[in-house]
Amino acid sequence: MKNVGDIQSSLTDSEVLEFCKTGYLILPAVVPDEINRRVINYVAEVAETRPEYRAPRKSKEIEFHLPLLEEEWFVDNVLLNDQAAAAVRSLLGKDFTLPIIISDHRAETPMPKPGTWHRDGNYVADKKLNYLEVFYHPEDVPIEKGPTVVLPGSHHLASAPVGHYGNLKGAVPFAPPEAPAGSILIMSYNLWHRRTPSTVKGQRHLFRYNYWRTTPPVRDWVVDPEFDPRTANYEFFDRYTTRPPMRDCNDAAEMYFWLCGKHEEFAVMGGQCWPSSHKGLDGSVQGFPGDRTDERIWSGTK
Amino acid sequence: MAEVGKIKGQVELCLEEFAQGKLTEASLQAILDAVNEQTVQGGTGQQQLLFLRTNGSTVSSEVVGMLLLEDGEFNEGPVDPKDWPYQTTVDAIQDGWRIIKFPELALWVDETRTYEVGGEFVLEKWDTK
Repeated sequence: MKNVGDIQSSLTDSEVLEFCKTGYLILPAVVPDEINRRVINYVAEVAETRPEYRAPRKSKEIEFHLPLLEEEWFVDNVLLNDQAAAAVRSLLGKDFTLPIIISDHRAETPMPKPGTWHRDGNYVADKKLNYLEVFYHPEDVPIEKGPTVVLPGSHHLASAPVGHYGNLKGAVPFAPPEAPAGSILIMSYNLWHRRTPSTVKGQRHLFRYNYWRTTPPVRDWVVDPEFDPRTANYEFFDRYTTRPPMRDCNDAAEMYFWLCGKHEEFAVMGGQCWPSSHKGLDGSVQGFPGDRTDERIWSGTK
Repeated sequence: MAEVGKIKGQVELCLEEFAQGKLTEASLQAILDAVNEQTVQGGTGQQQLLFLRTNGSTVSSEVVGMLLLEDGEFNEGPVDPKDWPYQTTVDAIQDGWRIIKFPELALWVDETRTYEVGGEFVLEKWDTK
């Protein structure tokens, strides 16, 4: 079985910053077809023979908690899948923990009514990234089978969505062609998401699990020498929300600084300064932490 | 709106009959019957609700989310926002919807925390069948 301690980071500075902006990352078709088929066969057998694995739910949703942590083929190819584990390593640092619960959220389709927008329970709303939510589709979930959709940038919102949010502009489906069978969605636990309506007869599987950080954040992903946090683009055009202008830049920059282990250095002077998109004609910026335009430098508050 | 037109027409008919000295009890009863059919009087109509989320607090702000309660069933409209029936709240007003709730501005006071996606307009129609 693979060892978590051997996993190397794969994401670059720009990719980590993109995660800070959007709150999610899709790794398309990273799990081999043979493993996807094995997973489907496994869950079919469990449903038939091991009803005790069915998790109690207040709703009509079907959820199985599966003992897949004991299955080396699953751990090595899904939980510690090369691409997925390297991305998790980039975001959560070395020696992250494996999930403790592997859930298969199963839907007997068609389900014409969509799920409500939500964050999963016990979320902590802050700019830290101490844990990740991960979804895995062992088979195609096209639009007609009601794939999960996520709302990019919603991890920075201060509250969970209310129940009567309907169709939201900017929602991104975890579905083909961008996410065929074997795809893994890694996201901030705070990202708003839901099941969409399905119209065809069949089953829809969604595997869900979490990873946690065990070490303080540090910039030990793939450091790009061309990447300059002073001039990086922190802007995310989520004008669908009512975040005040440039707040998107502040949110992404604060999360990036936290991931770098430099959250205490993060500060925004205000106005047309870092981390907003405002730059001089020569590319210069004002207000970068540590510069003389950082209030803490001249006010003695540092 | 059709019901209002029906009542108005019946009243106009009664006025005509009155001017001609031909007003009857049946004509007056017809007004009452039309009123009784009105939705708000417990007739056959239903309240239709339209939840519009907009990227600003004004009625001309762009719609960024929609949910319609129509005949007791929720309808989220077309998947593609370009195909939604209303792109602004003004569009909905012009189609006969009436605003019954404006965005909750108290949620927007703290500029360091954004609580929701867009502002919420709730609109209604009383639809009679």
